[in-house]
Amino acid sequence: MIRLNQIQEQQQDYLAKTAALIEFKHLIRKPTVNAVEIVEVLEKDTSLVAELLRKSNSPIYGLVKKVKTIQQAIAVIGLDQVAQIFTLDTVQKMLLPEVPSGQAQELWKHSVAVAVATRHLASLTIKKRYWEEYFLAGLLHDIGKFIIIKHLPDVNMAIEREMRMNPGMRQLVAEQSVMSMTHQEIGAFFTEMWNFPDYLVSSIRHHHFFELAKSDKAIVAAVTAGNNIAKAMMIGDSGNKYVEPLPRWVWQLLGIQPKDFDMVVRMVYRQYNGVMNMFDF
Amino acid sequence: MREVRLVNIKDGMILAKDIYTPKGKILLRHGSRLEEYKEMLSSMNIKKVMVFEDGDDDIAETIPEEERQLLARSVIHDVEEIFKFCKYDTYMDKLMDVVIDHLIQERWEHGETRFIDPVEPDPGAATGLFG
Repeated sequence: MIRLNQIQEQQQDYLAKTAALIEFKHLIRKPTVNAVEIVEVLEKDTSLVAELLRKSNSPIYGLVKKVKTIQQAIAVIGLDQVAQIFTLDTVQKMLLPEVPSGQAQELWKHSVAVAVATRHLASLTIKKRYWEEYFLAGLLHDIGKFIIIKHLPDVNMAIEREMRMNPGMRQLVAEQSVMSMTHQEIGAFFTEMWNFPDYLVSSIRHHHFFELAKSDKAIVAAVTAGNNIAKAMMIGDSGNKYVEPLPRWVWQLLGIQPKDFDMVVRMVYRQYNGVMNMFDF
Repeated sequence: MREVRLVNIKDGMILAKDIYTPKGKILLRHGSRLEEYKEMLSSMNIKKVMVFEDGDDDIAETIPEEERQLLARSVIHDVEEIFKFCKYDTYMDKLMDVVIDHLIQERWEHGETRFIDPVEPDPGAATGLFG
């Protein structure tokens, strides 16, 4: 059994970043958003503010006048875009090491694809103000794997070795064999300790075993389906390439018919490329 | 794709053609979700944009049949492997078909036929890098 308390000692960095992220998500979900409140939350992390302003002033926006404050950024590029930059930057800094390995980079691409797919599935049946929560749930669903890569390199290598020695073995089985737990449990353990909202913890804990989710079934189902769509499209690499069978009720809960996949795949591909082009990952 | 006035942009519409500044720099790339950029485009005095429609195919180019078959062989091999735990399911069968078409198109765009050996392997021949 691995010693998770070794990681707890290094968790201050995660805590600082997630607190602002969660508060921000809570704020933008409100039907009426107060810009002053948003600025207050964003300004808690000065490095993120700097990054937000740097991206707002990117040539991609072609702005004539330089954006100097968060208020200006919201006014010029819009709250949705500020929210997306903030979410992706925060989570990227939280999860990726400063010099990410090829494995971490591929996992990041996979996570962005799952986020985009999950948000797209949500957009078919769920009210718009919840879409960004689905995006965040997709982005964070494999946080346990990022923790393993970043903090438990020996365990990571042992899992890879186990899978190499047993071709076709599912990653969850290899994880269980090496550390007697899975990336879902590691992710849920920490995110629960960091007081993440229940819907995030639930989608992190159950994205492979969605039938065990007691609450937030719609979001867990969307993350599970988004995860499988991203894997089917071979975007990035989660370390587990196999698409998992999903019961019909999951698709029905999401309002998806087989004939819809053509559009879903096309939209996910377009939106993924849009995000990756914009953020130059 | 079709042209839409900025005021008529609806949630979920996707930009189909890059938008450039008067100086020729890219302002917004195709694939972007337009509802997120409405305010920014308005502040740049942009009135109309091209958006994808439901029936649009991203790729206008037609793949020559011979190359399509080459790509299909390699794509189907890869996709069947990743879907191997999802047999006899209407939803997954359809997803698999859609993904195969999508990946053939995507790999064609990236010129991947160059890396596929068009010759069927001889079952009697030695295999492996070093023969």
